Amino acid sequence: MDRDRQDALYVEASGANAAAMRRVARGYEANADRQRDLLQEMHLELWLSFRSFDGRCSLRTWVYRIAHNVGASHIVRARRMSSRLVDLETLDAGLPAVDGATQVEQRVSAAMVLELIHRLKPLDRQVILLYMEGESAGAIAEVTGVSPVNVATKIHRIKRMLREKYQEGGENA
Amino acid sequence: MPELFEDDGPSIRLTADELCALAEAREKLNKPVSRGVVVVMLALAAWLLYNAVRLDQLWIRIGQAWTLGVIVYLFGPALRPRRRDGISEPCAQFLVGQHEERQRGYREFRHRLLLFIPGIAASCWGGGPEAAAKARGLDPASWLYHFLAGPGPFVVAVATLGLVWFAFGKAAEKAGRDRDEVTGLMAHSR
Repeated sequence: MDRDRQDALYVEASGANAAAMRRVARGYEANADRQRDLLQEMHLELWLSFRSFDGRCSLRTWVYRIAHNVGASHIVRARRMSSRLVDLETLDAGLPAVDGATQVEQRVSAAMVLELIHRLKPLDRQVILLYMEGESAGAIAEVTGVSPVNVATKIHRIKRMLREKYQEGGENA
Repeated sequence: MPELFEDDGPSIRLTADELCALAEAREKLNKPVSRGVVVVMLALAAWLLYNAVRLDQLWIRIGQAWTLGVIVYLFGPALRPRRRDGISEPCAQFLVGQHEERQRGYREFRHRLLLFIPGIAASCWGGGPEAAAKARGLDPASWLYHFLAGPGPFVVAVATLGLVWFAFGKAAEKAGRDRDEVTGLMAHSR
């Protein structure tokens, strides 16, 4: 692929998905400085990847794959951190109830959920982040390579987990 | 559902030219590390080569030369530039690839560790540790001299290798489990 086409694809893809990439970076790294470095790495890999873009999936799917793979690579590399990551089932059992009654509390709750996301293993994290982006189970399966059945199961678990914890929090308030 | 996705994260605007420069800078960034490895390897190689030439005991020379070869064989591949293959694949496949690469790396390193044994054995057989003790002027009556003159150095070296071999085996097993976990999630997808 020639450089002009590579550049044009990057401009189009990053322009349309810049905010989504920022959110993905936030889902993989809590530290602000490292988050910025990670985001830069995502942009760099995205630009490089367009040398081999074959158009067999949508640009959005392509961007998500690159961003999540860079994010996953980031946490797999940090081995001390990755050894403490858990799956959804474990997180579900250990998630404290949260109270979403007021806007301030909502923000605190959001920070708590984001913190919990940071404790998830890469694939569970990808599913939950894509689900929160509003992607369908089919789209999530296409990005992650996880079977649609498993994606649906995970989404169901995520929904139930969040609903139960928020309800518990509301009742306790 | 919490409002997780407000746009208050870091913002980056990069032109294609800046990204191109970044890609080149990243290549350059790896060069000091490679140079460092080369310098350490060359210093070690020079020392082993010096020993192989200077010492007149055949077995010590063989041992030193063998160890030199193993070090080059073991750490030479580390100088190859690392690439992130399969970055545009679905995340599960990419992760499987990453875990397999980790597992392969640990296993290869582990197998190659065994190659140190003949070199160590030859050096010890030829009285290398004792020769080193003499060269340093150790008192022949001291416990350290006695230890170096006996099978102790060989046992310690092999035991250390054994521990490293075991640790790398555990790390390879862990990488295999991580891969299987991801593969299990992909099983019904196709």
